Amino acid sequence: MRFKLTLAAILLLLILSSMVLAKGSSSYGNTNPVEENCEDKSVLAERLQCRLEKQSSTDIPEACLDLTIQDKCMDFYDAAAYCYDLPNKDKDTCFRKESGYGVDKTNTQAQRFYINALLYELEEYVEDDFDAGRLSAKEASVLIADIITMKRALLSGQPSSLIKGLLINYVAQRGIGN
Amino acid sequence: MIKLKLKLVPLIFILVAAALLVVGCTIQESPTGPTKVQPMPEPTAVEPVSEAAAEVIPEPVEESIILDSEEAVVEQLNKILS
Repeated sequence: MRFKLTLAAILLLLILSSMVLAKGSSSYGNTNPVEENCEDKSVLAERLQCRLEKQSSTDIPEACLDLTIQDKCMDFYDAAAYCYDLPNKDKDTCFRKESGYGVDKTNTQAQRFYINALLYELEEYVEDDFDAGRLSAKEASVLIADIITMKRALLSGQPSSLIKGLLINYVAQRGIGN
Repeated sequence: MIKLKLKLVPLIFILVAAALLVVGCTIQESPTGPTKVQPMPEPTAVEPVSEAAAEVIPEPVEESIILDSEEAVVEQLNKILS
């Protein structure tokens, strides 16, 4: 009798243990999916959409990523970051000052950094529209990807005529001035 | 009496085991139970404005324009890119 009771106890213990294990495994799989990493996405617009949806960002600005002047580009981003929080009337002066364009208009790199700052300002308008719900994450990411393409072309030393062509397309797509 | 006590030992063992399993199940199902640690968001590429930097208002430059709309920004870009 005693042996039977002990055997029954062990069996009950095994059955209940398997139930706990099954519950634990299934709840982990359903409630804690593997965290999606935006940086793993190979397409720029998809990375941007992912970051907009997750409210995350990247260490290296997309416009500077893997450029030969990546470090200088990042230095400019850091230096000019405060300009975007200034009143509208002071922003342009700030961009000129931090890019060096205000001091030397013949300096090509200074001019390109200044244009880059203006393009970032356009990006801010798109992000504001996304934050206000006027644009979806997908729509905003496509527009921001276009701006980043312009910035990368600019900072890679592409001719200004190419940037201007891209800007014309962007303005039409965004419906600016309509 | 001794026989009765010996018979009770496995019963007590079963009850204790069952109680421990119930507690285990409760912890697994509890929303405050073990959770996966969420990764911290990456730092933003744009640094926040320091108080010192915010106080520095750049000196006005003659050609500076007021960037108060997307149209104004585009107009300035067109001007520079021409």
